[in-house]
Order: sequence, then C-alpha cells, then structure tokens
Amino acid sequence: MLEKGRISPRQTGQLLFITTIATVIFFAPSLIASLAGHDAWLAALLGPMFTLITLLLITWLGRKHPGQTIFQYSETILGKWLGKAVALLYVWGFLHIGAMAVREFGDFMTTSFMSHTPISVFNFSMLLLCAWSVLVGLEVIARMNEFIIILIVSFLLLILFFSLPNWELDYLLPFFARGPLPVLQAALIPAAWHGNIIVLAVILPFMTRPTRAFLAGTAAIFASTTLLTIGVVGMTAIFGPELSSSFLFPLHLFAQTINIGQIITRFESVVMTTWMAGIFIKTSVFYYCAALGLAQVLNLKEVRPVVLPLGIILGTLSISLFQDVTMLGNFLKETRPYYTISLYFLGLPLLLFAVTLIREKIFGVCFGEQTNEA
Amino acid sequence: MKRRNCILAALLACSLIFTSGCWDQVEIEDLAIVRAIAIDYLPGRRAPYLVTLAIKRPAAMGQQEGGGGGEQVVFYAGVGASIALAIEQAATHIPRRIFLTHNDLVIVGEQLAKHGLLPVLDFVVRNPDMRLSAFLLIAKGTGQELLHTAERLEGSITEEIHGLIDQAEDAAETQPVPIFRFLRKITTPGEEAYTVVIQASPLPKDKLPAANGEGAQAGEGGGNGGGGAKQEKSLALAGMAVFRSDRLAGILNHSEARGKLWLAGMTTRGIMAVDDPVHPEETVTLSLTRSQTKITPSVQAGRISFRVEVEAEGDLISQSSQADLSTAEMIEKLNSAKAGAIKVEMEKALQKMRQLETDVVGFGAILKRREPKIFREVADRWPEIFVEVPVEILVKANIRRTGLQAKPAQPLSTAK
Amino acid sequence: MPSAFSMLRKLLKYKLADNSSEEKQAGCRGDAIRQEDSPLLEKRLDLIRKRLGESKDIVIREFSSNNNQVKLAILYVDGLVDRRLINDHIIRPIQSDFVVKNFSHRLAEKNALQLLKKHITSISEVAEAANLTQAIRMMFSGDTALLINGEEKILVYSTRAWDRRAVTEPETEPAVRGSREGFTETLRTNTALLRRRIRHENLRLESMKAGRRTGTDVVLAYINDIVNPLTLEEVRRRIAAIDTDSILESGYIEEFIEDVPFSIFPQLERTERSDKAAAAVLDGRILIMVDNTPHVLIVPTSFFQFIQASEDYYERPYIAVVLRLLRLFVLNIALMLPAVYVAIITFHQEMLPTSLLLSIAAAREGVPFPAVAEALLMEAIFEVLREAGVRLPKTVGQAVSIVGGLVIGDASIRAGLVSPSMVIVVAVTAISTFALPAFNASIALRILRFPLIMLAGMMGLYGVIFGLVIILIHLAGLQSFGVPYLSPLAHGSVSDMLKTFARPFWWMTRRRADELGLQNMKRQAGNMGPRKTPFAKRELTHDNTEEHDAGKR
Repeated sequence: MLEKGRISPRQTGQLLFITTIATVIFFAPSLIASLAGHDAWLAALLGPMFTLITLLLITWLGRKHPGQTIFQYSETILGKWLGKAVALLYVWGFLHIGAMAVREFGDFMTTSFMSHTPISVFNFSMLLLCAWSVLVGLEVIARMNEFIIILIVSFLLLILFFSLPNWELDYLLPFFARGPLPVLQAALIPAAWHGNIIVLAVILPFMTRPTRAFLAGTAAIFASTTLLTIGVVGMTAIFGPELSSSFLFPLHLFAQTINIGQIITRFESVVMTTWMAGIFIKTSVFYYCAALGLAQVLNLKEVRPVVLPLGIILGTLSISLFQDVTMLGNFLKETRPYYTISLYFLGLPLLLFAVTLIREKIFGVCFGEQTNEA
Repeated sequence: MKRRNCILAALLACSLIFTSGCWDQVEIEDLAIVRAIAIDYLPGRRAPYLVTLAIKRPAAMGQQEGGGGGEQVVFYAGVGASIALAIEQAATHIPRRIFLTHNDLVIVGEQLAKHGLLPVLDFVVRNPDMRLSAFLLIAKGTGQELLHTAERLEGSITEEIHGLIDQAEDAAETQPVPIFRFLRKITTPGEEAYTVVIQASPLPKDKLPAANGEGAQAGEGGGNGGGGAKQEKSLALAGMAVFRSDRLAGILNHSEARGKLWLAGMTTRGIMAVDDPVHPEETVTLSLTRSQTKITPSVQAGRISFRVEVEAEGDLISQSSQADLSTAEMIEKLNSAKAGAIKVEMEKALQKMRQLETDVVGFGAILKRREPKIFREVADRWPEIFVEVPVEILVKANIRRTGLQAKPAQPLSTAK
Repeated sequence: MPSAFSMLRKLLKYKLADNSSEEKQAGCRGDAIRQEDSPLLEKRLDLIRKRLGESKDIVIREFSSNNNQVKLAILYVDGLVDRRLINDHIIRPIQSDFVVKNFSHRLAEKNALQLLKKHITSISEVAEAANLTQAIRMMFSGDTALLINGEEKILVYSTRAWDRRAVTEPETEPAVRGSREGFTETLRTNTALLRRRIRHENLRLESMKAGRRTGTDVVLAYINDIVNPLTLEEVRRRIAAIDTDSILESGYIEEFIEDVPFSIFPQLERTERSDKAAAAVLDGRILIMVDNTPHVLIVPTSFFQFIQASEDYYERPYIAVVLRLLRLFVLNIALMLPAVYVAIITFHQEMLPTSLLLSIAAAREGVPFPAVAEALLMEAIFEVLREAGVRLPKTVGQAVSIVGGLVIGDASIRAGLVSPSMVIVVAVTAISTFALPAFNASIALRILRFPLIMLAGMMGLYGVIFGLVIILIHLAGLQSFGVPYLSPLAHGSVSDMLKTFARPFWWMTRRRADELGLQNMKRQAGNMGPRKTPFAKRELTHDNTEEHDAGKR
C-alpha cells in the first residue's frame, strides 16, 4: 500500500471543499459575470450541479472497486495498457490543474503585491511546501486542512460581511434577461473548478468509511457553491456585471472597496493570506494525486521517488504554460471548462462507467461487488 | 539516503529564500506617502497630463512638539503624455519611493473632467497600489491650484479635504463618491455618474457690507495673523458634477444636487426653509431626517413614463415668527409647503439633468431592471429618450417633531 | 559537494559508532566485579567492601544474636535511613533477652531468616533480596539490608528517611485557585499526593527503573480500567528500552521516549501540579513520575493542552472560554507579532491605518538599521535579559530588569537606535510569551520567532505564511504515542474540538476525549444537569416564617 494514512469522511469533505473554493472564488466571479451578466449568481449556483454527475460516477466506480484508486481500477476495467494510458492521462490532468493553480497564485502575487519579485520565487517556494506535504502523506494534508479551512472560511466571510454596506442588490436585476443560454455557458466555468472533486476518485479508498464518500462530496459541493454564489452576488452588487467582468482578480478589488469609517479597511492582505493557504492545500492535493498515480502506474513501492521529478515538472509547467496573464485569463475562460470537463470530469469517468456496465451486463464479469457487501 | 535528501531539500529551500527576497522590500521611512493626487489636463500640449502629488512628511508630525517641523505636506508635480508618465516625471524629484496605497483622494481638474475621465479610471483600476475606495473629486479650476490652497483648521490641506468629505456624508446636498461606485455607474447602461465638486472660494466675510467689515475683519484677521491684505480662500464642497459617459456634462448647484438626491432616494440629512403659513414673509426652517423614494416605470402603448414617489420626514427646527405652529392644522400646512418645496427642487434638478442630457438618477437602469425587453429596444437612444420621458413627481412630507419646544416663547411686548 | 557530504556522513557515523561502544563499556563497568557471592558472612562482607570501596556513608555493622549462635550484619547508607528505626526495631529486638527467652532453642542460622522476618523484627515493610546485587541496589534507595551468616537470601527492611523538601506551591505553575501542593523531588511523596487525590483501587502505580548508574525509580501512574492498553504497553516498552547510565531529570526520559526527537515542540506535557496530574490520570492519560524530579510527564499529549491551565476547570466555565481564546491569541502573538510587524512595515505598508503609518514612519526616521535587523536585535536583547533574569539571584534580578528594561530601552530610543514602535512590539511579544501556561511550549515559540522574522524581512507576509505553513506541516505530522499532536482540532470529534476552546460545565462533561482510544469513555451519570429547586417548597418555608413572626408579634 502506498498510503498508510486514513482520513475521515469529514476530512474528505473539507479537502474537496478547499480544492474547489480555493481558486474558484478568486478567479471565477469575473469570468462568470462576463458571460452571464446579471445572472452570474444563477450560473454560479447551477454550475456545480454538473459536478454531481461526476461525483455520482466516481463514487459508483469506487464502490465497485473497493480499496482501489482510479489509476488502479482503470486498469481493472480497461485492461493493462489502455488502463495505464487512462491513468497517465489523469496524472497529466492533475499536474496540469495543479500547475494552473500555482500559476494563478503566482500571477496574483506579482500583479497585486510584489511586482518586483519574479514569479518563479512564488511558484517554486509554494511547490516546495507542497512537495513536503506530499511526502508526509494524505493524512497530514487532511489534518492541516482542518486548520486552514477555519482560516479560509472565516476570512472569506469576514470580507463578505464587511463589504455588505457597499452592496446594492438592485444590480442583480433584471433576472434572466438574456435567456438561459449565456447562463448555461457561464455555468460551465464554476463547473470546471468544481470538477476538482475528481480527486475523490484518488482519495476515496483511503477513507475510513468509503460509503460516506458521496455524502462528503455533496456536502463539499454545496458548501463551496453557497460561498461562491454569495461571492458572485456580492461582486455583482458592488461593481455591477459590466464592470466586474473586466477584472482579473475580482476578490482583490472586492476587498479594496471595504471601508467602514476609515478604520475597517485595507483587507487586501487578508485576501492574499487566504488565497495562499488555499492554494497550498489545493496544490498539495493535486500534487499528491499525481504522485500517487504515477507511483501506481509504475508499480512503485512508495511515492517518494516520483515526488521530486513531478515537482520539477509542476514548477516548469506553472511558468511555461502561459506567456502572460491575458493568456491565462483567456484559457481559464474559453478553453479550460471544455477541456477539463469533457476529458477528466465527465469523459473518462463516463467511459469507465460504460465499459464496466458493458462488461458486467454483456460479458458477465463481476467487479468486486461481492467483497463490498461481504 | 533519507538524511541526505533532507539536507539537500533544506539547502535548496535556504538558497531559494536567501537568494530571492528583498525585491519589494522597502523601509517605511523611505516611502513618499501620497495623501492626495490631483490630475489636470493641459489642452493643446503634447504632454497634457499634469499630476500633482501631495506627499505627507512624517518628520513634520514627529516634531510637532519640538516646533519647526516645517511643512506637513509637500507637493511634487510632473507632466506627461499619460498619468503614469507624469508621475514618473514627478518621481525624478522625489528622493523616496512613491507610495500610492494610502492615497484616498483623487482630485480631477475641470478641464480633464470635460475631456474625459477614462484615463484616470483606467490608471486607478489597473494600478494595484491605487485603491478603489478612494474618493473622486472634481476641482473647480485646476486640481493643482486647489491643493495649493492654504489650510485653515487642519494641519494640512489633505486633512482639510478629508474633513470636508467626512462632514459631507451627513449633509444632503453633496455626497462624496468612491471610485468604484463611479466606475459602476459609468459602466451600467441607462445610468450616468456624478461626484462632488470641490472649490476654493473666498471666505464669506467679504460679503458683509463695508461698514461692518472692518470690525469683523480685524476680529478674524487677528486669528490669521495677517492684516487682511490678501483675500483668504478656503475649500468648500460646491455642488455636484454630473457626467455624460466619462465626460463632465455640467455642475448642479446645492439645491439642484439635493433635488437629484431626492430623485435617487439618497437624501440623508440637511435643512430646508419654507414660508411661514401664518406670516408668509417669515421663514420656517425644517430639517430632513428620513426619506424614501420609489421610482416606478410604466410602459403604455410603447410610451415610457416614470412615477417618483417621495416620502420625507423631518423636524421643525426654527421659526422666525411667533405663530403657534404646533396645531394639527398648521403642521398640515407646513407639510404641504414642505412637499411643495421638495417637489420644486426635484423638478429643477430634473430640468437641469435634461438640459445636460445626463441621466444621473438612473431612470434607464430602473427601466432595465423592471422592463428589460423594452429597455433593450431603446438602450441606444436612451439619452435622447430621457430628455423627453414624462416623470410624475408625488411628494408626501411629514413633520414628526418640533424640537424641544412646541410653540415659540411669547415675549410680553408682542403678546399684548 | 557530494563528496563533502559523504565525508560528513562518515564522520557522523564514526562518531555515532564510537559513542555506542563507549556506552557498552560503561554498561559493563557498572557490575564489573563478578566475584562469586557466598552465603558466608565474612566472605560476603569482604566482597561488599571490595565492591563498595571505602565510602564513609556506608555503614556495616556486624553483630550476633542468641548468644553468638547467629551471626548477622546490617548494612545501610547513612543519611538515607532512619537510624532510630534500625536501632529500635531491628538491632534491639534481635539482640534482646526476648530472643534468648523465646527462641533460644529454635533460632539457628539455618532458619533465622523466617524467624527474624516473621517474629522478631518489628518493621512493617520487609522484602527478601535474592542476591547481594539486588540488596545493594535496594540499600542505595534507603533500605537496610540484614545479612545472615550462611543464608543466601538477604532481608531488606524499608527504613527510608532522608531530608526532603516539603510539599510547596509549584513556583513555575502558580494558579489562583486550586491545590497548592506541588510535587517534590521524592517519588514516594509524589505518589502519595496522587493517591490522596484518587482513592480508587484501579489507580495503578507501576514501578520501573532507568539509568544504570543512577538507578532512578520511574513510576507509571494510570487508572487500569480507563487507560488505553496499547498506549500503556508502548510507554512501558519505550521506557524499558532506555539503556543509559543516568536519568537525573524527567527531561532525560522525555527525550528518550519522544516520537520525533528532532522536533522543536515538546511532545510530552510536564507538570508540577498534583491536581493537574490527577486530572490527567482521570482523563485516561499516563503519568511518568521520575524520582528526584518534581516534574511529572503526561502522555499522550496534544498541542492544545499547552493552552489549558488547571484553574480553567475550577472557575466558571465562561471565564475558561475567554481565557483559552485569549491564550490562543497570545500564542499567535508570541509566535508571529514581530514577524508580522516587520512584514507590514517593510512590505505591506498599505495595511496600516494612515495615521499609524505616519507615526511609525516618523519614529523610524533616522533609525540606522533596517526593520528586520532592528527586530532581530531587540529580540536577541530581550532573550539575553530574560536569561540573565532567570540565572541571577532574585535580589540582583530586580536590578537587571531595571537596567535592561528601563535604561537600555529608554536610552536606545532616545539615541535613535531603535524605534519606539519596535520596542512596544518586542515588549508585547515578551509578555505574551509569559502569559502561556506551558513554559516548554513557549520555548519552541521563542526559537521559531527568529526564523519567522527573517522570512518576514525577505518575503513579507508571504514569507511569514511560508514559515507558518512549514510549522503546520511539521505539527500536523507529529504524533504523541499514537495520538495526533494537533488533535482534537485536527482529527477529532466536533464535541472534542469545541472542548479545546470551551470547557463545558462539569455536569455536562459526560465523556472523556475520543482521541485517546480509552476503554471507559463514560465519566459520569447523565442526569446531573441543572435541577429546579421546588419553588412551592421555598414559598412554604417563607410563609411559615412570616406566620411565625406574626405570631410572635
């Protein structure tokens, strides 16, 4: 076994919550607003519902193959080589998403806070922390997360609360003016982030009670959807949809508007702290999944040997993936939702699901169902 | 193996940390803390932007007790083809790093406001150091001159402006607008932006007749240390600048500004005068404590119209006659007089807005919220439509309290 | 580079190997003389003299009983025994006529042992040592050995009595409310203090020994039907595995049995307070009591125990909530304040309110050092002062604090060497450090402060958080005897989590903490909640008195 630690359903839920909310609330609101306008909040509310399908698929697959990660059961289902290919595709997916998260953070730091510091400093130091936490294992990441989640949630609520005087809810109207199409299109953007619960397919076998996986995932999705929706409502109410769609880091500007009697003001650094903590956990989880996946594909005894190479790949990716911020923004808005959802969040799980069904129903192969019930 | 890895990782971390760092580090005493920035436009020049930075000298604060601290605020100016270039030019004279994060006043000269505010707004939003909660003020004349006005009560001119803004939040006529709100208004269809006008005007004392003037001037002149040879000027908020898109359309005076706020439902506090119902030549002063405005658009057979209902509450705060105004009948009369006065203000404001072709109240935005389909049809022509769209104004006023006395004291001589 | 590393490693290895061999030798020397023991008294005494050398405090007295029929010798260490007890209850009965009168025909060297033990000597605690080595070891703990000619076994009487420090209030852990009895250096006194608090048959005090040369007694105290047996077994195993020549303080044991010895954080809680120790035992934890140490170790330990003080449990629960939150805040201050201050004034000046920014800028004008250097310097000076204050006699300590605090602080500000705001920050940090109930935890914070300040000086808040995350990764990975160090906040039930910050009323505290895996979770009955005093009854009595009074009138 590559991972000895076990995490509780609650910790799983918290991990999933942070992996989704950590980036979505910092980046997505303006992207959503640019597509859905006044109905951005509706898109934010609807988007994650797509992810429930992903969640259903991976918990179903997880129940079919108890004790196995997606890297392992893809081999069981599709056969050795095809399965390994799928697993490697997932490893790449986790690396890609992780690298994007790091890049987003690095860009934020260099644009908003420390414009003279090269981005590589932030990316590599962040990855160093993540590498260490990957080495100490999933259980420790989950435990740290229980701490960090308090920090992140309370800071986010604090920012939202203090911005309340600036809200003008009139700006949320008119409701549903442009019809359903832009809303659905915009809903893909938060869905692309919420699809991050695909990591459940990797950490599910390490839960103390894997039967609770669906519950944990649903709770995480609902919690982060709620928070995201409040954030989007707040942003629309403060800036109006037209203005907010032009922002790169909406939450940062959001915090800038807070000014209660000249005393409760200057919350930007709180945003930075929150985001850094969130990105740390998120990247650690993705890094961990990638490392575990690679180790399982290569049949290694432990994760250790692949951590450093993967870290270097992550670091290089995080710097070379995008030329500049504009490219990052366009990618996040136009390419990422379709790419991640069609491939990782829905496509491959559906494939695995379909092949399992076909093999079971038509060829009568049994996949570990009995052991699960026994 | 394990230990070696650890050592290597530690070394890597150390080198990462020690070789990096310090790029953005700056000691607090090496900052030029900008407290206000004035941006002017010099038409016809190749480098039209004139930026004046008001920089606070911390040393002056620290030595207040010792005396001789020197000026609290120092000004630097630069010109350039863009705001950033102008600041860059000013920076060549500043021995410290320009620090804009604590700047919460952006003062724009009238010329630039007429030319268009987009460069200013773009600079503010794009620059992470500039804050969206900073206030946007339009200077009558140039911003630079305004900043160079001598401070009176406060330690420096920037604090003086801050004080005025803080006070203005309580007054009805002029409300300071943070930049993010301004931005939101100019980006929202069917709505135009507005902000406060600030002006350096002569002190009211020279309006007194010459006969009494000397005594008054001597009294005040002593406080100023001057003989009154030079005319003293002081800053005041002088109405509301209204915009068409990002360009200054015109300036509403105090009562028009209040009329606009009535229309937008934003009046907070203030006082107004109406004629005494018993002795029409006397004045009754009423305060405004609370008001509510409701704007309902209606579309009938393709014709757009608006209905504005205002409900205003207030107290009676003074009267110049000795009539007993505390009866129900009198209060009723006062109420209708007040409602009439408010309606006049609102109509004046509306008229001015139509004259300037700018919908600062946001009738268009309201229409958009209620009737999005109809607004979409007229969105492009909204400014023209706004000028002609009928607006029905209904005002209901209530006088709730009469201060600490119900009816005025009756001196014996007049009571006879 | 790599070659240098391997050199270093080799050197280290060599050193390690060297150490271990030395240890082995030391171990051997302890019982170097392996001369044949013999039951014959003279030979035995010879052997004893050889083994113990010419130590003046070891008293060997030969005497005989029953008209020289039985030859005996007693052996004790002067100063560790109650001599009157030996005289009156061992030597006198054996030598008296009483023996001759009653046992003259029965008492011979062959059966002396049982007779002496059962009928003659009058000391309550007697043991039989199987061989000389054992007897000598017991003798060094203050027992008296009675050697009988021709008898292999040796009688050992408990005659321990030495000058001991009285039970006083623990100085390092004073409390407003609660028992003032602190542990002392004498193990027996300490166990008695514990027994007095827990009078239950299942309180077990398990003896062990550690330290080849010091022969230190170690007692494990736990309640048999509560404690997690796996934890207990692990503690036993780890203590038994200690093979060293000396245990002078419980700190030695602490280091030997810690899970992660390299960690900067203490993984065992220690206390001098007897009430705290008793509470820990009742919570299902295990006490490790070490002779000659007033500090008792508590395992397993979680980090949040360091923000709890015993009087939290004695005063109203409301104040406990406030105090715990306050301590948590103080803990953060003690760890981060100087670092955050440095980060803010060198990187994130926008975070300060404008007037504060201006006054700090004004104060820093003319200060020659960068803020980081200033912070490090001031922290270092503070550490020096603190250390001087601890080492100096109390009377002089006062002077040091005056010179240090007032003179240096004031003069350096006046001279413009440091800014007043930095002095305030350092002072607040220092005070916060002392507001934490656990000294050993605050040591860790004090050390970690310095790297955090450096990180802050290089990377601002990002650096501070970088450092904090490193600390968090470390903490989250720590375990204390199988219990996660950050439990119950990470990895625990919700009610346990809340209990970290808010202690419930005692009548609500029905269960013990989940994280320890105890055998018996139930602490008390569930129906202890607030009960209404019957109102009618009170009224009745009231009425009665009134009537009574009226009748009187």
